[in-house]
Amino acid sequence: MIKRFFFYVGLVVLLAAVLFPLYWVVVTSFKLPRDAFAIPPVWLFEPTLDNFRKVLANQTFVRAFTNSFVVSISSSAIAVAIGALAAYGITQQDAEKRRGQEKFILSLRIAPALVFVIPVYYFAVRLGALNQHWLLIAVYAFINVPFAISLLITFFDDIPRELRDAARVDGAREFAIFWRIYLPAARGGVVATLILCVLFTWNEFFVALTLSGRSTQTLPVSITSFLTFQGIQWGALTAAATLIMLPMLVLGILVQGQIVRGMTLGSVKG
Amino acid sequence: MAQLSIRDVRKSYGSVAVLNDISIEVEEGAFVVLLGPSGCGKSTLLHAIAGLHEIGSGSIVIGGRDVTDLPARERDVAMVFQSYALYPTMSVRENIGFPLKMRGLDKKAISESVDRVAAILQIEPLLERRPRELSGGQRQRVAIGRALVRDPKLFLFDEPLSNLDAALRGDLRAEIKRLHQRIKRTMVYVTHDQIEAMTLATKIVILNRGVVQQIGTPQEIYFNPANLFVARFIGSPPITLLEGKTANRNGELLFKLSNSDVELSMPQSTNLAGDETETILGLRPENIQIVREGNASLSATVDLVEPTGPEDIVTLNVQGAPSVIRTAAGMTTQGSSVGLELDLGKALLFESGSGTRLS
Amino acid sequence: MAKRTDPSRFFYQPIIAVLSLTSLVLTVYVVWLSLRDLSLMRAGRDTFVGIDNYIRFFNDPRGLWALWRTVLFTVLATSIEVVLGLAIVLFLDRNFALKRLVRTLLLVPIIMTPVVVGLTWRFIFDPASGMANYLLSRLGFDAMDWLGSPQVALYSVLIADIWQWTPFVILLSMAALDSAPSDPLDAARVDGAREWQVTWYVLLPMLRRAIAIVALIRAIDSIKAFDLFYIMTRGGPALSTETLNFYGYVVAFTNFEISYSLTVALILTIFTNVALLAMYGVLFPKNGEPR
Repeated sequence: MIKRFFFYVGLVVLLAAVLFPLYWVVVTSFKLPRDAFAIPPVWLFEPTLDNFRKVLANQTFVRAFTNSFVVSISSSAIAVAIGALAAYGITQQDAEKRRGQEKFILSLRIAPALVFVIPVYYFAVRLGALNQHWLLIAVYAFINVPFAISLLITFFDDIPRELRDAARVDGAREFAIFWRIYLPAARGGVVATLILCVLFTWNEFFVALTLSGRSTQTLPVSITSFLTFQGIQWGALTAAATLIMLPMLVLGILVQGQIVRGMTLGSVKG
Repeated sequence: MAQLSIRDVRKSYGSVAVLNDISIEVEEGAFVVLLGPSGCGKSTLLHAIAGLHEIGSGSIVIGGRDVTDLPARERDVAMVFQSYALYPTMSVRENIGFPLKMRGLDKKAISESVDRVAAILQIEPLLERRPRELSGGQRQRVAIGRALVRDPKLFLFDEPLSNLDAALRGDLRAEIKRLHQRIKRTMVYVTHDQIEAMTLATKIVILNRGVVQQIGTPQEIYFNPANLFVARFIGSPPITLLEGKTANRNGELLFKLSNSDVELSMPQSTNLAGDETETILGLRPENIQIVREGNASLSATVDLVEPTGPEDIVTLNVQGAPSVIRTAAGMTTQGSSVGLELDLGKALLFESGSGTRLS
Repeated sequence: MAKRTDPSRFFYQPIIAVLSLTSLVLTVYVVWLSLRDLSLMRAGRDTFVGIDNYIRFFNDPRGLWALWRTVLFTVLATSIEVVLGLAIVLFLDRNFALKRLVRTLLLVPIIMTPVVVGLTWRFIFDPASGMANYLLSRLGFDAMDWLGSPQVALYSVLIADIWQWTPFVILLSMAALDSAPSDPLDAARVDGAREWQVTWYVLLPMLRRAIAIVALIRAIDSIKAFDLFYIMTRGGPALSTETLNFYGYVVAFTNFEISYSLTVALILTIFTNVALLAMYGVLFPKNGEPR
């Protein structure tokens, strides 16, 4: 009984530690400035939507929302389309050939982004492409393709190989097998991969910071504009932060089973 | 003309030969069973016939057309898989109709064919269900339906019953046999289960380590095995094998058992290789009878008695060699000594080293 | 030997070819640039300087300190996250109501936008009105300058990193634990092992592979950590939180020294690979790799 009690005390402490920062940001976004900085902190306060009004009235931030949406959806869709083709092809090869391909794809994911962002930046400056959406979309698609391939391989591997044999005997061409058998059978995995790519792209900061221009800024970059020299506008900042992460928390919980898989794959087989 | 000709087919993975010079002729309407232990190459051969595996050399001819270099979809064969390989996202109707859809038939024709096949297999009530809503036996019926819906030159079965439980296996086996008798098409069937092979086949091909051991009717395979491997592999309980030497004393043919001084007098018809050759004598269980010890040609001790109801399966120790036979229930007890009468006219003799059949 | 070509090859070969070609061209281009002295601040000057940039790095105290901080941060973050995560996994390894919910909640830090995580912790570490100092004062300690003191700032960022990524270790190890068979544990209990012995001799060895993988992933990600540093400290105060990745960023995007920044980036890449291979060697010994 005492053991049980301590277990639940420990569990509460753990959950508090995990959830408190999230709670604190969300709660602060509903506070008036005088409540936000009160010491000792006020736990009960009069909620306000002022911070959200302020953020949503900010043209730059609203545009960043659109940018993030456009960039993450389109680059993820491209990456998943390309990734699905490649993953299908790779899963049909014999073990030896596969290992080589999978190792190569994994190696693409180890190099720091810096090493490839700098030359891309240099090119973009010369081409005058820094302020164009396609640059970000292309770069994110390029980053997401290896990830999509290795994740989709794990889903396609769950499909018994005999299905392809059966379809071949039944007279299906290779593309029909991919399109009519494999894609529908792995539909859940394909959607999960797409969501994970969107999640990653939406949250990504380094590439966005270096390769976006004034009119292509995504949300993580845009929010840093609240960190001004005059000081930090915590009210607006926490409201913006809440707006940025909320859609991803929802998406993330939708595909929670796949997240750990998505974040480890590749390495698992390395 | 043969419906299927396999000519000098070889295939190897690295240095391991999985198919070694396989040649088989299958006449139209035959039911051929490829039988052998796991890893003997029977499945690889079937996949090669289907066009799912490439072969190293040799050729495969189906219905007079050389298909060696054709992909599976152009070979006009249908296949039923061990795991059923039903398309999980399609309904039963779509599964069965898939081969026709891939051949570009119109919706109405497909629908009619599916209904016809469903009637044959009595699966009409299942047509709108998904594979995961079906039992194992129903799934295998659908898989057979998918093969049946076309009119292929060749039906291929890859251990179709091995994922089913025993009772269901018996039912479907009978159903496949009836199906073959009804549609009279050429079928090639892979299994490791000799009962399936014996009951279904018009012709059995026994494979071991990628080499054809014997091709024959079930009767030939059982009563007239080509070598020691076939004799051992077929039959349950297994054949009893006694090691010894042949001898010819004054015109009398003798078989002298190793490790004992027992000499068996062989019938004159026996075709013995020669004097003093190391030989193995094989006898089917039904050719060994337990008799009173006095007038027996051989004595043995009872190692184990396994009652099965009407009869017992008795494991004997015959001069150091194990022998399993069937007796009427309660005839012997464990540990007792018994006499044996051997029907030596039915004995099978094999060369000791190579296992080649002598008589 | 193959007479028929398997058409499934055409699904991946063109894509792999494009990826290979792109990465090859990029690598060659990057190496070539790192042997020059290209800088966007000096228009027109772009000459071949050989390995001067590499020599410069090894005589650049700022770069070497950044490298050292990267090592320190990576070792601390990886080891603390793995040990703490495992401890929590063992703590949670029992049946209780709401276990699924706890798992879902553990996901929150992982999928939270890293920039928001940085801002949140910056808010909590605010010297005047942050929760961290309020907590310290309630416990009777003096307030700390979490992000403003060169001796403390790196560890403050470390805390945020641990908060964000320990749940990842927990979830991955939990998944491994779920797929591990429970029979050996029961067998050990029947054989007379105490609970800690069961954990130490049977359970942890079964999780070895999963732990090794999670440590590897965390190490690689820590080497490349950027977002938290940028948001929480921007490398400051007094460069006390500048890691190699961040230094490379500063050289490229503040000083616009393209060639030197690529040199730093390449050294970071080499460092990552060496660390990876070293860890791989230790975690997955050739003989008897645990499954």
